[in-house]
Amino acid sequence: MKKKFLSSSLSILILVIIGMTIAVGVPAYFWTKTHVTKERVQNRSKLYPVILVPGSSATENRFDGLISKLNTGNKKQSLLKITVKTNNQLRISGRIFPRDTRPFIVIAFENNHDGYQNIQRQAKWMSVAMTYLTKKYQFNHFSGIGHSNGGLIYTLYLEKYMDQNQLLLDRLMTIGTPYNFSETNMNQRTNILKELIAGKEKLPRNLTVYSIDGTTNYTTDGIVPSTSVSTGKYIFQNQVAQYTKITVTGKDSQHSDLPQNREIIQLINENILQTGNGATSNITQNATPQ
Amino acid sequence: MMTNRMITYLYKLQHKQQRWPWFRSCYFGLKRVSPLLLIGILIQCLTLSFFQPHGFFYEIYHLDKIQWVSEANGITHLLSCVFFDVALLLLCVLVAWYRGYLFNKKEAVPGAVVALILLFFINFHVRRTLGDGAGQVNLSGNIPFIEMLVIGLIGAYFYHITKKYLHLKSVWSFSAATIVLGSLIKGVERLLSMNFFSSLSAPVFAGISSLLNDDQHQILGIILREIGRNLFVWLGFISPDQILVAHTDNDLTRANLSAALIKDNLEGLPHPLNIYSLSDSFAVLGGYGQILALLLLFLLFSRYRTHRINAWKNLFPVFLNVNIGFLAEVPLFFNIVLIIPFIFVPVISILLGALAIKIGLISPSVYQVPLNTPTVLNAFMGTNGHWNSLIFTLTILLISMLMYYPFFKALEMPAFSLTKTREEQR
Repeated sequence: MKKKFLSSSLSILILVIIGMTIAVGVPAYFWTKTHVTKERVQNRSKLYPVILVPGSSATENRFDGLISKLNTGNKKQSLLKITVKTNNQLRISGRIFPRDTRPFIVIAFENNHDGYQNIQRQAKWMSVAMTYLTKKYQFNHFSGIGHSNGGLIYTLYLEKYMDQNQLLLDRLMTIGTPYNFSETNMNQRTNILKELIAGKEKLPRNLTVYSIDGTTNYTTDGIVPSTSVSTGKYIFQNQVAQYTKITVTGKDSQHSDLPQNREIIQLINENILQTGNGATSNITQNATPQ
Repeated sequence: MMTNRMITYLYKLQHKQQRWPWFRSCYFGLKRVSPLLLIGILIQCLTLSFFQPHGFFYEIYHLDKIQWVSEANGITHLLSCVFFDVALLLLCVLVAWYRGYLFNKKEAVPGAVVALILLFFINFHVRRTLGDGAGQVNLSGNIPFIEMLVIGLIGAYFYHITKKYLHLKSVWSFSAATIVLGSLIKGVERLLSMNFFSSLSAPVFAGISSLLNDDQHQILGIILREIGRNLFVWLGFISPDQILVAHTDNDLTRANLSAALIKDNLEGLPHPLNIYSLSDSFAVLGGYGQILALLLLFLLFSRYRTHRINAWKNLFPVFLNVNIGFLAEVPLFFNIVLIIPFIFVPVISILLGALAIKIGLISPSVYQVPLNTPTVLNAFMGTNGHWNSLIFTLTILLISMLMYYPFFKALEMPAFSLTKTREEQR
């Protein structure tokens, strides 16, 4: 008798569950997916800068040539330059136009010397500049370009200082970045590489990384060994959403010429500035200084 | 063996409790008004889920495109209030009537009348507005059950005592005595600037809720709040129109949401353990006290047809977290057998949820869900459709059913023995 009750109730309940799954579960699932996507889009700030960090010995003007080449035709993206002094104070020049949603921001350092200790300090100074920028301009996502040691500073900043709950770096392009300093043997890991590999789990999961390697011969761009750039895979591969290494040869593929290299400018245009949400082409073209 | 012993002990306790006349009177009233309550609750479910903007079905079926929905919202809300009012009024009268009946058949009706006068007197508010009338009786479905039960009992006891010891006989003398009693209660309320029943739970909740913003003691705060709230519900400090609202406006929840929207994933959130990811996702399946587990037990294992039918009738509202009808139907209030699972099953569910989040088995709920979303789907929808969250919620439901089972067996026992005795007498 008891079994009869149970089986009849159970079979009705199973029917109810199947009915509910179709009538409630499926629409609820699709509603959630649509709603969250909509919320994500709404949550993104309109301002979506490209933040550039130069390498050692370079100043805030390091990317002037690159930016003027990117700002061709109708495109005119604003440029803000920040130099972080050794006492954490900021020297600022340039401005962001009111309607420009995709400005360039260069973060340089008064102490721009090479070396492990200096790069550590520069990563900390970068966080000082970023705190100022996010507070002043109220943005929560950005793209990044780092030239030479600028790529090391960027990676250190991501691992040690960036609060991923507040800020999103979606794309990072490192150009001629010596992840293993001047070491040519990939098995000989320098301190910086060891540190970056140790902290790689703190890198944003959704980040897309492009590592550009310039070579004038088969092994180096004149300063940075090709093998040192390649060691970036030990940091990014299987850690971020996508890691791509690109080798550029031919004209302007020497280390200091890389930011002006035609191929690299095209890569920046295609992979950093074209974000897929139409922000770049539609909005920045109309931006004018006010 | 151990379970059997526990069931027998609980049965004895319940048996003892059922001898108390005041307890029997309360259950008599609750059982009688539960069909009315159920109608009110079904209408309320329609209002909350289908017709109210941001309601669950309103959102998932995109009902905003239908014009008459907003008009229906007002009408159904009004209707549910009417049903709740009538149910509350009847509850008070029936409790007094039955308690009076247990004293003496002749005391049933006068006791109910005294309770009715008291009820109106206590809930009569004077609102001085320029164009409006001077007084109104406030009975809008938001009066807690405990108030109705207590007023009903006071009415019956008051009539019995005054008749027995003061030897009052005429209608006028009883009316005057009732008005004096009402004035006394009202005077004390005014003196203390509080309503005995509505204001009692508020300070306790305010104290516990302040713990919720402290990230260090988050789980402790959530558990204390859950215990406190369920204890108050068990004592009847809950009104028919009271509904569960997910804590999506909590500071910690908002910080999590903001982080998740920026990162596009649910890893490394600043506050993974909070009231939304624990209590709202795993401790209120089917409303207060994880009551969906008990309802499913009745539905699947009860040997009485009426119990199973009642469970089926309440399935839809309980699925939408509105379980007041089922609580009155069981009844849960003052039920000595059910107090243990009603308080501790949600606590254990919270702890299991916290453990699963901590070890990375599931992600914490972060994203906002529509109003009145069935809590079975809360974790699933709050994690943007993570299937492991849904499976974990169903596992929690199953565990809750297992924990409720011995108590459910004890609940079934008295009815069974009663039927058996009747059969033997035949």
